[in-house]
Amino acid sequence: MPKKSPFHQRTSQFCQSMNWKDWAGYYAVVSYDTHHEQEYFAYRHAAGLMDVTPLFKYEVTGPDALRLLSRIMAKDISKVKQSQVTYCCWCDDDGKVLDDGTVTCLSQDHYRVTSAEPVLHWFHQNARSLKVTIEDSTSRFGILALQGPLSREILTHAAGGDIASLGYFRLIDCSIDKRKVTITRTGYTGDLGYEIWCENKDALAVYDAVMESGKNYQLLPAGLAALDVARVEAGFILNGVDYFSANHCVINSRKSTPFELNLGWSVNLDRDSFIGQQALKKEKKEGSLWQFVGLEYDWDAYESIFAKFDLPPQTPAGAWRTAVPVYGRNGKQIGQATSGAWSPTLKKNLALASIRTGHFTMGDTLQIEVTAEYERKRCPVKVCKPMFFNPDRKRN
Amino acid sequence: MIKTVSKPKTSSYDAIIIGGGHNGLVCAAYLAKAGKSVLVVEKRPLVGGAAVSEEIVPGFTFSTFSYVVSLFRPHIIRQLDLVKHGLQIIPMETTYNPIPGDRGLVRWADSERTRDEIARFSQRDASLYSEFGLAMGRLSRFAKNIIDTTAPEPASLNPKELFKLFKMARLFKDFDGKLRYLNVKLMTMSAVDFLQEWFESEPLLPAMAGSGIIGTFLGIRSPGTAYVLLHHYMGEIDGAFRAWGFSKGGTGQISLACAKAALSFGAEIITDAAVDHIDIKKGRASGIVLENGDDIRAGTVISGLDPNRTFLKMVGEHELPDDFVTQIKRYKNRGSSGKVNLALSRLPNFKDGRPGHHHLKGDITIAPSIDYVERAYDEAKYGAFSRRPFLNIVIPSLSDPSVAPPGKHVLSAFVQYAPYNLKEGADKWPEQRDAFGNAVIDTIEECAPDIRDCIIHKQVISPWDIEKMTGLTEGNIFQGELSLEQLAFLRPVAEWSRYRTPIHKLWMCGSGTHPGGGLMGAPGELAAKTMLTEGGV
Amino acid sequence: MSYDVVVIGGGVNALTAASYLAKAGRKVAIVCPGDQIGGLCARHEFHPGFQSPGILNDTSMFRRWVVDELGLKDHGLTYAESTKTLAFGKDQHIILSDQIDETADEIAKVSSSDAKNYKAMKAFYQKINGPISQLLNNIPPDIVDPQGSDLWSLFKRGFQLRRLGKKDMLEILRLAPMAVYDWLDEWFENDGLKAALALPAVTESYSGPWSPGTNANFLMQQVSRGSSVKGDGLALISALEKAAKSSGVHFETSARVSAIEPGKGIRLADNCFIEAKTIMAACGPKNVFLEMMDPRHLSHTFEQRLTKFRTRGLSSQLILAVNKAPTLVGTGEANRVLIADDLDSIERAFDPIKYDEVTRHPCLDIYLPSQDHEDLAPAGQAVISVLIHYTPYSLRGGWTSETREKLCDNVIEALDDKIPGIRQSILGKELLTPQDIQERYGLSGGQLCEGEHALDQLLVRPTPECSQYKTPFDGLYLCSGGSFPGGGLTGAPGALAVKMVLSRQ
Repeated sequence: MPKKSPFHQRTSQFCQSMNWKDWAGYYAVVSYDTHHEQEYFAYRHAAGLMDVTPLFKYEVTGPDALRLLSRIMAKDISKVKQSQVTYCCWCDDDGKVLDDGTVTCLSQDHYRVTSAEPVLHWFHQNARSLKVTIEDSTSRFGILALQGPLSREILTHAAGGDIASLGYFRLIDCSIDKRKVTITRTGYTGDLGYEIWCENKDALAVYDAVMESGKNYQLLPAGLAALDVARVEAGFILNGVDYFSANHCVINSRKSTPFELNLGWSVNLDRDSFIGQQALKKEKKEGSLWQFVGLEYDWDAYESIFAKFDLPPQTPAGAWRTAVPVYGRNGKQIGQATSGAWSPTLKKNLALASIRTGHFTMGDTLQIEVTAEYERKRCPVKVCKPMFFNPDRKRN
Repeated sequence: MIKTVSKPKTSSYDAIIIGGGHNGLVCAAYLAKAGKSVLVVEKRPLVGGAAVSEEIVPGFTFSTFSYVVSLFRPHIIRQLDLVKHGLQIIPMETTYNPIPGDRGLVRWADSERTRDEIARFSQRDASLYSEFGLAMGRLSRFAKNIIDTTAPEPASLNPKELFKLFKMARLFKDFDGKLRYLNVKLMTMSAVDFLQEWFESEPLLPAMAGSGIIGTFLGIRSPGTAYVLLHHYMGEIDGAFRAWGFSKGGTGQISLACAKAALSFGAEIITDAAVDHIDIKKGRASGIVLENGDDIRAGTVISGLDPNRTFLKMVGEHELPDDFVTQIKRYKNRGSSGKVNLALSRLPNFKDGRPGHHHLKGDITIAPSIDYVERAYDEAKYGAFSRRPFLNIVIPSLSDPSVAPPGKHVLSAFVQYAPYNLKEGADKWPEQRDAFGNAVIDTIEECAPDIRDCIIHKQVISPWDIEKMTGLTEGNIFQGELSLEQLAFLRPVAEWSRYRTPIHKLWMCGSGTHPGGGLMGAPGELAAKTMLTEGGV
Repeated sequence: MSYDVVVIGGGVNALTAASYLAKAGRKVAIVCPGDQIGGLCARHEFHPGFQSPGILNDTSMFRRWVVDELGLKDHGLTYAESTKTLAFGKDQHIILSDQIDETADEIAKVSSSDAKNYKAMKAFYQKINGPISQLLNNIPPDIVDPQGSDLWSLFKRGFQLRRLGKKDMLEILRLAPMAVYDWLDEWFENDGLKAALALPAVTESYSGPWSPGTNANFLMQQVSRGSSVKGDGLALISALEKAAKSSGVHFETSARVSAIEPGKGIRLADNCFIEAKTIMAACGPKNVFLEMMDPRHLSHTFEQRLTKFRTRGLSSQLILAVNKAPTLVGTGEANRVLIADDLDSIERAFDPIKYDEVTRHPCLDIYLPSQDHEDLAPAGQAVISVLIHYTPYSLRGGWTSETREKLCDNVIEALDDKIPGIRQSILGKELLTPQDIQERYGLSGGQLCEGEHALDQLLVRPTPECSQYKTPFDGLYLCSGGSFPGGGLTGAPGALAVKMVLSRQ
């Protein structure tokens, strides 16, 4: 049976649809309403409040905390300043990605890591001879993600602290309803947004205070379904969907490297040794086998596929996660789209895909499988960078 | 049930199979399916050998010996149409390790829930648990190949055999280096050493390691026990059913399904018919003589009995080469386990603070610590049953109400160690049986204090009883220890691992042949197929 | 300071490797952590006027071909005419020697069928000696990541085995994973004989005679055993040292290595840096990689494998200073005495260490060095070295002076029972528990073989990356007992590692 997060009392109160799922052992709302559209629009036009407590959280403390993280992470963590958060991934010896998440520098000897999967054993294994302790703090904190263009106003109203000047991927300790919280300007929607960390005992008070502050800003509790559409628009990868942790792959060909996932920007190769460094250096020199790209469906072609059956074009109701084949110019399969969604904001049908290097260049038109009236068809798609939606307000 | 008689219809068959255990029945079914006239001869009134269901007390059906199904080969189920003949497997979803005065550890089908359970003892172990399952799953692909074909012959110069070895090497090569190394370790290490490379906490370690010792006379720290762990992961990937399950109506239903399949293909089965000896003329088996003096002729005689019984009792040393007799004599049987079957008036209370009984529906292993299990072994080594034994308990009536009256239950406890050879002598078992049964119930009582109040009837089976009841030499449930030197091309002895024997037209099809014991059906199937392709019948 | 090769360690393997390299024209330095050359055969004073002969002394497995190739006979090495071991069982004693007939006659006193079978067993080992020796005296094939040459070598070994005939080949495959208990049971009936044969084979790994896989050790020992060096371990070391010196090896003693920098050299504890393109480590693999190297240079997988290499110490040593040489029953010529009643008593001695306890009735492997080395003790007096099986590394409750004294008492009681009068003759003693052995000799876990001789650790020793003496680091090689074919005074890891080095230069 899944566990209840510290916000469960509220989320269950609002979840009219009874649409729950098991997220890492916790009950998580898929959508509060029977349809997630309102929640999606809240993310993009007002603000949505989501319970992201199930993220795995670890406290890495001790004089060697930085050394441990430098050894594990593909990114150079020594560049992360106090009160700064960074997004990064970590790999095995072969440079295959194990997971991705965030590292927050709370102080020189206290870092906080979030991940999609439990990593305790991995961190421990690499901590031999280091003065460091690793604590699983997953069940100690509740986290709320407040995301959307009005989230700054709402939080300014709710929290006693200088939210207005909190920079992108920065952190501030402040209070909400007199309860101590840590606020980071981070999120998984690709929009302006914050994440609020609080102690379990303060969870409901904090939740209520934020909801109260958001009353005049059309703040809505939002679920995973809306988030999934938003993250496809933003081009954020998801462990277990767009790639698989190397520790959980039955076959080697399923594993991916950061370069293959378009995370090359988060890899700092030229520094002290870290796990996977040699393999990644080699890949950097020799090139990657796969590339992670965005695909935009050719709408006219899409429409005509359905028109042949005398049907209007059917756009997916939410984001999808069942991989479909992608074909190259010669008609051979050259990769797969791993997730996608109809973007209500961009009015485009989008997908994220892994495609074999050498079979395309950016801007090329490839073919993707589309099922119309039980028949498999191919629809032209344009290859682009995997970031469809990137508003200025996200960073500014 | 099937109706059987104790007299055969005719006096001559293409093949006679001695022993109506599940392997004998599977073998009979395959031979009959190929059009041979087949007779199965069973000494007990019911077929099944060590896989039988018996109503010891009215209304309570006990799986007397073998109590769970794990590795029964899915292709045998398909090829013999066993589902049509009544086979039904109910999956077991949980594994529970009670600890007196604690919630214990339950591993559920829900992996997140299992992680939380393990995290109570070690968060590190919890975060590694699923990864371990994955690695084992990969390795079991390799092992599956070994149990589903005849054993390779490494000393053969026959190109066909060499090709087979080559194919196996290729398969091994397809793994990456990490898995190959893991495989080397798995084949040679002790269950504890192997698992300690992954995990650190109790009761997870002994609970998992326990599956490495079942049926062996080895401890969880003895090298060679790691590879048995793999068996737990083999069922999970073949898709047909889960790793462990109950046969509806008790384990005997599997034997009955095999028997019905054999009958449907035209085989004959006689029961209450004990074989006195195999008739051998000029080094060739020509038939059998029953204890009642009946003489039945056969083109081929196939023994489903263990090697010791087959050769030293049914054939006789004088018919066999000295060298072969020496090898059979040193083949290790050494029964190490017993059974305690209980009819219960109600479900015992495990005092673990867990609501309901969902966690009792699967397998309940009493192995609270590594030292506990190892000490149980240490006692047994010197010829005494363990006063605090390793127990593998199931309560099948929770999943299959047909085996007990409403509200009442059957509990089956597999007990290790109970060495056949007590230091006072094996024949002292009848005197020690009660004490043995009490040690088992005392052990259960530590976790379920009211167990004694629930008992309506108790059946205590020592290895000596197993031998007396089923004929298994020294009560070894696998027809010979599953140690490395008695596996594959060395099972039962070198150069005779392909179901043949030094006696012309005498074959073997029991668990004493490759791939060994357990409710698999594989030896019976492989024996039949080998005979059919090599002109054995 | 700059050399072609620097060898870390001061024991048999270090000296062997250094001599081979020097003979091949390399400029070699040996860096020995102790103040005495010799490793586990190094002397030290443990009682005023009395010196310990070290822990290992059985030279019967030192490879003949190494003796020949290094010309050790020119440096004073001679073989003992015969090696006699006095084995005490329950109410019996037999003298085992390297002469088969002599031993068989001795066994006949307790069992005539055993005497016959002893000859048969020796004949069997003689018969299979060829291919097994080939296996033990060559660089082992890499079975985890086999390259073309490994496959060829595997094929060759397989073919050599097959040439013995189908029956013997299958017999070898059968016997290797067996428990030595079952194997000896197939041959013999006399309990004392079985125990005497088994004891040396089961004490190298975390196992008793009931443990499967112990027969592989027995096989290795039976095939490798020959005559002993006259003067045992100390004499062997002295010949090796002379050979090394005469071929120009430089010795650096009392030099602890603090860091290895592969391809560059080593740094000593006093911060002095010794340059060398090639480094050979004749110390345990765990010491090399987990203590002497920067952990950041190890890959995750490699580091994990090293930490999992099992090095649990099992034996303690009690060294006694006695005022007169002990008088043995029988011919009195034996310089080795074994005390183990039967196989079960060995198993019972093993049982407690699984629970971090120590047995009250240990099995003893005793060495009486003074006959050859009168300088170890003042005139007329003697030294006795007793290896105690089994004792745990971390005793429950700790190795306190009380528990240590209790262990000594138990050992002396057992000794006194077989060699009467020993208790009264004791002038001084020193007990080395596995923890002390780790401390004194730098052996990880106090494991005398630099790693347990378990089947998996013999097939792939110590890890797949360095099962052939080379390591993931260019210019760094392993050559201790932690490499194939394992620990003991064999010289094989040292000599075979050099072959690997030379083949790659």
